Amino acid sequence: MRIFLRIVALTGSLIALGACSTTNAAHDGDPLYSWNKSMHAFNKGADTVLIKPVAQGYRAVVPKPGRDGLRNVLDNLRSPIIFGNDVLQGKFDRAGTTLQRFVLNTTIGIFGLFDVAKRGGIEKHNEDMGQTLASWGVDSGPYLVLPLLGPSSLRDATGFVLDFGLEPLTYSRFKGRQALLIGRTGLAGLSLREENLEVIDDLRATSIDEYASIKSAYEQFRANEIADGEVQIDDLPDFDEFEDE
Amino acid sequence: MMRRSMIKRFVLAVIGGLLMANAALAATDDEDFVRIKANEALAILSNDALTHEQKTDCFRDFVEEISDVPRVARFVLGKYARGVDPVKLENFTTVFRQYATGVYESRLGSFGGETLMVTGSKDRKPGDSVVSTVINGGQLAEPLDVNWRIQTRKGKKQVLDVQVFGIWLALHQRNEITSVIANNNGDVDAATSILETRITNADFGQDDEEDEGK
Repeated sequence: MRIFLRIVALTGSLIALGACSTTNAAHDGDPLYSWNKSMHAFNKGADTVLIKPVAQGYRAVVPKPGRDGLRNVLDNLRSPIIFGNDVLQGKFDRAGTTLQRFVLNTTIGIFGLFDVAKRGGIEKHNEDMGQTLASWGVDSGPYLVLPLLGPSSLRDATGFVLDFGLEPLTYSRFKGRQALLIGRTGLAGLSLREENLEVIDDLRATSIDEYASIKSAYEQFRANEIADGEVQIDDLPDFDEFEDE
Repeated sequence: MMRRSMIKRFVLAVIGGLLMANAALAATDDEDFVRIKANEALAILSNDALTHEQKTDCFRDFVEEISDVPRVARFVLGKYARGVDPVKLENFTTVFRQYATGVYESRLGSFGGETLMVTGSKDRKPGDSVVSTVINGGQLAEPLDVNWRIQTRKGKKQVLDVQVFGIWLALHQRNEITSVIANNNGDVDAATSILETRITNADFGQDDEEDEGK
């Protein structure tokens, strides 16, 4: 019940955020532009002074096999969420793949430390409630930058909260459960930031408008994830769309 | 009456069959084009007999040959391309060409030894298709899916956009450039100026690489 109330509260505040959006003709595809730009600046500051240095320190201290092992464990722990979303999307083949990976990696792979399923040709994939909502026809809604979590959309942020409903730890009862959940989320963030040190440096170095660059990359990347990597040929723009008559 | 209807259906079926056959042929043509051209590019990049400067020159000529830079430059201006002053457009195209080649050239050293395999293609409309490939080997830890948007104009095939990690690069640049122009009251020169600054500073991130394998 507490979880449900939290979900309602967060979803409500996200909708409220949408309601107090500003309108600016220059950013007509981005109704939350003012909020998003502020959060982008906040996240960039936090990344510069804290997150990136910690990720660099983590890389300096922990050798690659250790970092890969942690990433594998964290990926394996996400399997119930991926499995649940596979099923909710009616993708039973992919649900079977997720289950196979979980069983193999948890047993032979020693609690997910080694991705033995991948070595056996069973590739991982990602699913989340944002993608499930998309597959049910829910529009992405406005682009939304979340504090510390970064780029998202109204739909994906709602999905992020709803995913806790598929997380087994949500329903367990033991002392330190919340600390474990928070710690795991923090570690996953650190692992992801470390994995993308070069990618983000590169994006910052080559972008001419960092905010627009991250927004564009996020929206295209998510569209590709929702389509399971299949090119959506009809969604591509015409190259002559704005040619003079 | 019935016979006329049957003849009509037969003619339609033949036309439909011909169109489908044409589409299939076009797709196969585009797949061959990508296979040949991408392998030419990979051969340039992995040719140890060439100095970095020679590789850069070869690659620049290659990009000019397979792409239509003025058309891509116009595309990345989005809605601001419509009715743009021809002088501003020419300035932007010149600077965009330098910027785009600069970004790619700064990364040429990161390639070598990769192989490409065409995995299929889809026709969007006549003369407009997407060819899917997988690149393996070299410095890649995992196979990389790359899709190529190919358009045929006046009998010449050209690469207009490339998708890597799910991101179409020309579309991505359009989103950035139109944002800069929007932030400057629709002035195309603002985008030209920012690109010029980047070229002058030669800041394409090539020196910021960190040692991931450590």
